[in-house]
Amino acid sequence: MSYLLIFVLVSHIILGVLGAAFLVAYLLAFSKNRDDSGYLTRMSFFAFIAFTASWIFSGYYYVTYYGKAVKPIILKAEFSWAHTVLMESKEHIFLFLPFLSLALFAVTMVFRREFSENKKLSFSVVSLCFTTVSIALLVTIFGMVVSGAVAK
Amino acid sequence: MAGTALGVGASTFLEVFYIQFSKDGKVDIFEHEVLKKLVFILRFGLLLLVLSGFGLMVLWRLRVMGPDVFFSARYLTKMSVVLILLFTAFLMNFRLINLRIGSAISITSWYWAMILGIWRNAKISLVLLMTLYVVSIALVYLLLEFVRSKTIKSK
Amino acid sequence: MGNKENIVRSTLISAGVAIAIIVVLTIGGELNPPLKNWLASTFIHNWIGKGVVSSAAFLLSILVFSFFKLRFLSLTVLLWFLVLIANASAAVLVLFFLAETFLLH
Repeated sequence: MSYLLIFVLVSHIILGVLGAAFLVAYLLAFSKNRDDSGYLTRMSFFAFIAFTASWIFSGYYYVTYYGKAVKPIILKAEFSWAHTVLMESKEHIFLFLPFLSLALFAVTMVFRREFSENKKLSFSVVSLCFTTVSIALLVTIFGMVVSGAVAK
Repeated sequence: MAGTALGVGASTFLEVFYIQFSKDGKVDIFEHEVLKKLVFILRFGLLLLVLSGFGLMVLWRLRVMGPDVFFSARYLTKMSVVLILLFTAFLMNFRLINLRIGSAISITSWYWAMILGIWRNAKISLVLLMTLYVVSIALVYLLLEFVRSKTIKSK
Repeated sequence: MGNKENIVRSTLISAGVAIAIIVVLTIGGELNPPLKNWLASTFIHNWIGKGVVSSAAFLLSILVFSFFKLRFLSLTVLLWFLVLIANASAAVLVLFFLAETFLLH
């Protein structure tokens, strides 16, 4: 693997984890009713940027290297389901994250002042954020298992 | 290892100091500040543990270590323990779990992360490791409850 | 302000539309190879095709819905709609690939 491919592989992991971390920070700040309402907007925006950047880096790695060099190894080995189930699910579910984080950012930017007064609205916003974090975590776990299935 | 050391130390002292500070039935401002600092160290340790775990995983992937390492009982148990630790920390933060149960799970998980990090030649099956983990959570909970009851009685 | 609120509602609906399109293209591509081949030949790789088509649909959808007055749609309901679509879509995809791997082959 070239240094460029190592860089994009590592970058997509770091950016994906960062995206999830920004959303966890969002949830923590939300629970503490932080009056600094710019914080929630910033966290959701950074999460969107992180997921989109991860999308681009992982896409480059997937399109230029994974299909040719890694997928055949996994499919021939003991844990072929790591590709046919986990990688196939992960590469498509991952596409949801930029849309979900952008939706969260949009809602936060415009309606953040209503969060403290409207309990139903704030609960639904928390649910959207929690769903996005859960999907990011699921994608991460799938990625770890796929990595493990790559044998010499 | 640094992350694990910080986490084990912080969680142990957090438990010790919280029991001690609760002796008089309240936690004053100074005691609250001490506990807050320990929680900060604990969170930092958790962040280090997670990031170093990812780093190790990437190194293994680049060296094509394969299922023998990634799917070993020791590694799978450690990953499960760390995930449970993260989830418990999340639940405790939002008060979605009884804090006494949460702290028992938390402190047990930190010690298990340390033990599994050191015990590299562990040849025990995944099922047995996870069973031992769950049993140790129960034992730690009972121990902490015993210590708490003794501390309050000695007031 | 009214326009901003309308755009936010359009964004929530469009995110749901984009996710639904990803699921349709993914399952459709697996069950109908010519669709997958078309995506691959048009966009270099079928995965890129799914990203481009869903993004285009998302933007087009925001544009279309922003012309409607969406204030009658509760923001809370739209958020729950998106949460439901995201969770259901993730579950559908995992179950589909599980079925394809263990039941159909």
